[in-house]
Amino acid sequence: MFNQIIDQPELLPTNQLLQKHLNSSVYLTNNVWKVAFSPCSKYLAIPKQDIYGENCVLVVKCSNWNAKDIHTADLSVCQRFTCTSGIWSLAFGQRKTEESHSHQSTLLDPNNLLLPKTRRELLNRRRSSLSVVNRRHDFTKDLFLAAGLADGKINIWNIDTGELTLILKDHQSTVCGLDFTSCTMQLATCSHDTTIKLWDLLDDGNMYKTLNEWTHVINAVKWSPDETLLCAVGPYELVILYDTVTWEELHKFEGHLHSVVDCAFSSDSALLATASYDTQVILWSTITGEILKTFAHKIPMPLKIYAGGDNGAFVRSVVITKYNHNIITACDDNKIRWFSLALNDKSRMIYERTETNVLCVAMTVDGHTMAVSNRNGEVHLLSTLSTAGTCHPPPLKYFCRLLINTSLGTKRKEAFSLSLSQHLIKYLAYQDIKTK
Amino acid sequence: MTTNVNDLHCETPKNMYVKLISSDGHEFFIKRDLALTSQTIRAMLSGPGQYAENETNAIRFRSISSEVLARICSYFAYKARYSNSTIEIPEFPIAPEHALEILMAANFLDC
Repeated sequence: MFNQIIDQPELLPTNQLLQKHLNSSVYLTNNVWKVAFSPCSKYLAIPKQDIYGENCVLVVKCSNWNAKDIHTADLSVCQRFTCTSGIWSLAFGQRKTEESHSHQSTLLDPNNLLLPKTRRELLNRRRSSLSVVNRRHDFTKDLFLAAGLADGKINIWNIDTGELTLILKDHQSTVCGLDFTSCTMQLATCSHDTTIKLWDLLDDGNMYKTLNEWTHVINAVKWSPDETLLCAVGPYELVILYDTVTWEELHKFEGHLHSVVDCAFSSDSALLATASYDTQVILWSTITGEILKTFAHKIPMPLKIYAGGDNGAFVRSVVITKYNHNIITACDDNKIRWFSLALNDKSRMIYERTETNVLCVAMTVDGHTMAVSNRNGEVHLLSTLSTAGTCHPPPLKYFCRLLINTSLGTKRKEAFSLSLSQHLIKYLAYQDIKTK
Repeated sequence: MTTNVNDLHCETPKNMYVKLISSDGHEFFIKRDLALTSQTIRAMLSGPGQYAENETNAIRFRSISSEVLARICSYFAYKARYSNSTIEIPEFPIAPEHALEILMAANFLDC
């Protein structure tokens, strides 16, 4: 089934336009640690530093990153925001009005309509009496960009109007990771001051929770797409999943051998991929808590002493593509690799591409385009359309699995009590892709 | 191109459509090659004469209800439309209340 790679991922024609903007002599070559796409897939945020020493974020707008003809593609730098110190993390957020999430209760138990099942529902309940009129800032409509800075501040800009709407000041040290929820404008931030803070932007940026159980930095935080889980990763092989309604620790995943720097959820929140300096990307099941697959970047696998130390193949970044076909990783051995999630034999790399000093990989929400950034201040755009797995529609079972896992929400463990055969329950828990 | 009057009255070949019958008696006529997306149906229709369906081109599913079978027929059309397609493949929508039944039916039909 795997002879269906039509095209290799290629540099897009719009990449040339982007380089023209980025390579102007006004900018220094800085390490571009993170780039981010907006939820509508039209904007790309890139942190840069200019020759006067000012740190800025460029927001590039393009209505179609995959346009074939560079003359009709309308790529332009629509905003340039300046910041008081170095930018460590970026994320876009936009409030989305919900498409019926009341279906979650019908799937499992029609009588349980009274219990809030996800944080989203909990918030709606609490906020039903709060109106926008009483709020100082209106975060309900436009697209916002948040940037975590080296001095502990978080700047939030409104992309449409270009104004700096809010500065969140609570962290004592560099804000090295932040993430917005997909619909309700909750922001999770993690910092070198060893805490994770949670902010509710619909409540004027109120910080409602601090998680500070560690004495070391937290490298990254990510919300699951259905907002029921929060994943935090850090040094000392830390990977933790929190339940976002009760804030208890659901799982503490053990298996990495070095600092864990990035994580990504699958679209139904049932899979979690974590990237670590021990040259591996491990795929965990959030339902059962076990390891499903490991992806090695240095073959043969280094001995533990090297995996836990300086091995030259730190994996810096990981993304899962739309429909969970592939995983794309960026590694310090100057390569970007595509791995397939669909097979259950050895974790096969289906493609690799050289990109010197690559730091970060980001994908658009619609799954068509990806951007890679490196230490030389460059950002390249690649297409993802024709890689293996995307030229055939997925099987019907696949869509059912995505839907059922998304609907389960916080009642994920109850997948095992559904009235299905054992074989199908294992399929829901992604046991079919587990390495035997 | 001249049309022959006879062409207008000719029947579709006997085997072009198959009939899928749900548990509650709804009958779905779909093109044979679409139905063959399902490996189970393919086996039923092309087996060595063991199945009666071979002759009548009709299959009765006692465990699949009509809403589920209708969605499955839509899936066959979706799959045929977007296989080997260069344009973006949209998501196939499924109603959540039928998701479990569709999963079981899709597992049975192997599609």
